[in-house]
Amino acid sequence: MTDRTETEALRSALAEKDASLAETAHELRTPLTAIRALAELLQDTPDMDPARRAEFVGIILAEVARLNRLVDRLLDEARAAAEPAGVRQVPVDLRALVLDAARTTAALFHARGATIATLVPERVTPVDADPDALKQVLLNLLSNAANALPPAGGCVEIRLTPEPGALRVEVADNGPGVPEGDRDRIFARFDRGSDPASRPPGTGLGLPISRQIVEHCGGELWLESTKGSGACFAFRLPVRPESRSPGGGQPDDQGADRR
Amino acid sequence: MTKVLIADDEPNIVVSLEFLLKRAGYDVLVTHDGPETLRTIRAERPGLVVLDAMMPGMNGYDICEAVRADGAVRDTPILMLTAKGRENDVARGVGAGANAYVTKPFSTRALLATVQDMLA
Repeated sequence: MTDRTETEALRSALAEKDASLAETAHELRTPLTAIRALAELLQDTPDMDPARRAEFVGIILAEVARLNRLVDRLLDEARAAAEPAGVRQVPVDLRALVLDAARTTAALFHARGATIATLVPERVTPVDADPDALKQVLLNLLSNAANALPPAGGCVEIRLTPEPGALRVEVADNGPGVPEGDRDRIFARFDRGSDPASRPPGTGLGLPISRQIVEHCGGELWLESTKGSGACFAFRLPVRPESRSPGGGQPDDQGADRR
Repeated sequence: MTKVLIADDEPNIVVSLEFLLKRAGYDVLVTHDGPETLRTIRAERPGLVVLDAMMPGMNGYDICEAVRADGAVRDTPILMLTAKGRENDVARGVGAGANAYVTKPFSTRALLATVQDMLA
């Protein structure tokens, strides 16, 4: 059974990789097609009008620049994808990180006329993680939330909640939510949603990389969402094993403060 | 002068095809999406269509099938352009009723020779 599940998972991962490779090949081939055709026409038309010649050369150079940008982007993405493998693991105060991420993005929300609410306990048990990578996850979830907000009355809530042996972080917005059909796709590389009209800016790598970082730290990241009532992305990280001893395990979360 | 319709959504590829076919003496029409292409085939009755397989609105295979199902324009020769060179895409194009197949990046010389053959 497990073998079969793993084979299925592997097969779907390979299919996903195939699809993204096919898309990349198409993106590369389009400028190549224009370059090849125009270069041949220049070669085969010695008496070409100078204005036309200049136009064709201009297009060829523009298409070469487009190819260059594509190659740069592919390299950046390959680098980004390789990063989580190198994350270090140190004790991290997730409370401080959440407050820091909320502070960093506050201006982003205020610029959109939106409010951000932070709900954290007084203190929490540390988790084992790479603080920089984890902050990237928080910033990514917050900036996704900012992009999803309605034009007026936008509101984002970031919550940190202790659970037995773990800490849970939730980022909830009051945007349109994620359509049923997109819920698995959004964690796939290069996916930016099925509706081009509402497509957010970015490369479509934020969520898959965030998930990879959290998983690398032994946690999980998922979407809790229903269309029409906003999106809520959540992740859970195990607290440090030595902190789970009786008595010192669950922190006092009576004094949750809202800021 | 034989009318040839170029249906492709990539402006720089259209520039090259338009120049190539005009230089060869054809009267060139251009469309950029599926529905516009089908309307133009019905209204202008081109002698040949150079049809991109991947266009917004309606893809080349669907257009091909729609043309073959329409008694008034069913005999229009169709040269399908695709970015993929794989056998199953060629089979799909032929199945949909394309008369010839050229893969991107195409050679302008080979493409022109195919067009001339088809119109001979």
